[in-house]
Amino acid sequence: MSTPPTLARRLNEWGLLLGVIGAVIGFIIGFAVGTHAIPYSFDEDNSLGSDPGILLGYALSVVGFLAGMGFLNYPIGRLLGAKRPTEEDNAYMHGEGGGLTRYFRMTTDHKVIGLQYLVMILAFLFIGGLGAMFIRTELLTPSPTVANAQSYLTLVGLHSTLMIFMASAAIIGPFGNYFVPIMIGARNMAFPRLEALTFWLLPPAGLILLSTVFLGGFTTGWTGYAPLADQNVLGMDSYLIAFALIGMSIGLSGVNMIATIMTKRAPGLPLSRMPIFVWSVLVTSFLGALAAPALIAAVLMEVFDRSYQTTFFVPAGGGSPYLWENLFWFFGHPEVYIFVVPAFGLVMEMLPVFTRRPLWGYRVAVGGMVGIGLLSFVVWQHHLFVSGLAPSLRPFYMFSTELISVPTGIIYLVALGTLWRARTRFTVPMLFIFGFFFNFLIGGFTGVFLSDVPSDFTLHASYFVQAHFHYTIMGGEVFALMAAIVYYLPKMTGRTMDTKLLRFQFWAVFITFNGTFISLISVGILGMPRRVISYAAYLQPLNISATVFAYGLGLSMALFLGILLWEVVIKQKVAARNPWESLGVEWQVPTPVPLFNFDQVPVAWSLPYDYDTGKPAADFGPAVPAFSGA
Amino acid sequence: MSDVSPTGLTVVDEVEGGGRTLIFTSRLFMAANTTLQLSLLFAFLYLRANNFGGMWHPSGIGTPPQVLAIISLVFPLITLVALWAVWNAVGRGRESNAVSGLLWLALVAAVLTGAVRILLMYQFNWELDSAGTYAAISTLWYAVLLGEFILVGLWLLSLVMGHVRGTDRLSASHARAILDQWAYITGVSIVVYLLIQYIK
Repeated sequence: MSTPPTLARRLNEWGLLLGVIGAVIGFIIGFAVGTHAIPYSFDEDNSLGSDPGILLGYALSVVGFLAGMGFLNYPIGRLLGAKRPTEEDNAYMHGEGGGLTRYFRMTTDHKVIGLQYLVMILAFLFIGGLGAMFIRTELLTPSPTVANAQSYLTLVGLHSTLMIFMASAAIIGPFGNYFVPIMIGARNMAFPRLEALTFWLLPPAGLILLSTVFLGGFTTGWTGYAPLADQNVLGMDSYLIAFALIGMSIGLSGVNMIATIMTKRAPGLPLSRMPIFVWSVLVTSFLGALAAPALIAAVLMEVFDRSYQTTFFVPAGGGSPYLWENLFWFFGHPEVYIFVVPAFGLVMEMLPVFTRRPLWGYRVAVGGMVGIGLLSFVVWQHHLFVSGLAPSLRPFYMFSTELISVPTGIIYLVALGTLWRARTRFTVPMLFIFGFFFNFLIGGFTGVFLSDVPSDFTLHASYFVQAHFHYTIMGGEVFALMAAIVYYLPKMTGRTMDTKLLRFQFWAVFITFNGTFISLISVGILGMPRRVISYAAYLQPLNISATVFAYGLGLSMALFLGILLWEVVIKQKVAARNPWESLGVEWQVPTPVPLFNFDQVPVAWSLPYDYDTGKPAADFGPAVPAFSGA
Repeated sequence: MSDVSPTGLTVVDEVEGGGRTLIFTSRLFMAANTTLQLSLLFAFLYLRANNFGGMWHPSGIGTPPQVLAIISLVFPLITLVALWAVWNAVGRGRESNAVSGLLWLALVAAVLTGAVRILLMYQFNWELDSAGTYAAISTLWYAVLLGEFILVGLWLLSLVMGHVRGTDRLSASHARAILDQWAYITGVSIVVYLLIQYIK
């Protein structure tokens, strides 16, 4: 820096600490105001406080956290008519010269934000995974052992909600933020501060959710169904505020991604030549931007019910639980595709690299993803088949739900077409891609039974549903996430992971995953209800099988994290510049990627899958060869 | 390396979305906001259609004060007209005091909009725990709109301050973006007013 750092910058260096202080102050103020200013007369056990106090306390704690992090500096400056930040200020906010500290403060560099996302998601997935281990341990025996029904439900709710939160950002968070601007030739996102905000809303959301254990927990599971949600103790407030924050993050991230992709593409890069991963992010972003507001509306109503004692979801007061179910699932089903569509994009982005063939049916694949996005808005009522949905509506929602398997099948056709007669390189990411397609296929097949009204009546609320969901999200998205981590880490960190050990890890996770969830499909078919702590004795052998495999699954996931930490953080094994010999533009820029990505933005772009000729996706001039070693 | 650029262009230093990005994003926010408004509309119509236990609109529950509700619609219309005039003037390259005057007018009307809407909500006089679902959804909807007016009002304030202090002169794209937002919220608030006032 040519000039001494300003006070604002010095404070920014301590952003995380100041954020925590701001959160504590915000909570105290909010709790005091909410407790004393809002009349409240619920009969629940409120020795820890009142719902308005907790809700307002959490809300202001988030405001305080963001203020401490420095998110209000820019808007307040604008409100006062201050000058716009200088280029030097912008470079500083982008992380110039920041070293490791930039990962612990607000920055506007999409690459730093991508890595922040990755670390946070892995940390929360680890916590959520521990919850799964506790659940499986409890279910070793048919009767309750360690937990009681209330604490078991809280455990299930925490595990599921935390995993859903993280899954919604697992691909777009790290890889969308890091690579989309590079893949489209942009120096940054359209709204970098907004991008930072979408990340920094999530750690408070996760912590607020976890704090539910101090407030009595919540028994609704991740779906937050009313009227149980209205009747729950204070722990429910954690769920509501956390979900509202997640909804805001998803919606704002969606708007920012769409704006970036639609308006910041390099000259010479039309939509028809965008990498398939960018297409998947675009489709997902539309889902997020348009679906998340429905969730926010539902959460607002529930907050009103719990704090002002309105009766949106209370039948005795004129409300209806179905209102929550409709609004929640109008968000909730597109949310499932918010998880999966970017995973489709990632695996299709990687397939050509390892098959050394162009992506077969690029336009068809784009059409498939757009089709999934459109159809995902008209299927939500299949979640209500057994909830009293008007019988005349059932055929439509059964048909629309089954129809969505068509564009999904198209994605499989594209993958098969790309693999056909290819000289496939069986690298670790490719193994995970195969695992993805195998698992998601089972997830898709089991989904057909749930979209079909008669079989759904039999299987609803059983472990079959739980296993189906885990096959699509864990078997699908998480396998794609692991493929992407191994594939993209050399670019993101300049470090690489041990492939021999990872091969073992892949087979361990693949076998134990399938062992766990085939067992759970079986107990579901045999009638074991989910979210219940006890079960019939004859189901114990299969539950023991599920638990043993689940322990193996937990260990193999821990092994993945261990390899990641050992190789990348401790051993720091240096990666080749383009270890997979990809033609993607992200592999043509130097590692580490320059602060603003490109010295000059290239203008000649083609699809990055021309492995017949080996032509890279973008023309950087003569200096950069397509492939080179470390 | 490709031999010839298919676009015939040469490398560039930066892709500047600029005003196009701003206007496009402003409209994206309106699209997202539409989902929020439609969710509230769905709730309104759903609760009214079902009228569980006759608790949609129990006897003794009135509508929002008519005069105040109409006044709360007049001020945003004044802001809207002023913003339209600002956009026209800036679009034609007029850098006169008139632009500043119109911006101040828009801002004052926006502040009055917020003030009247807060006052209006205090005049509802509904006991929310027993006033039924009409009162609940009306209060929530008015609160959401108030929040949106405040947010866009703050944005307007930042534009006015930057313009009058000369630190950031108002661009045509900024003028257009905020005009779009204000027009959208004003339009929605008129529809909501009609709905709440006449569909009980």
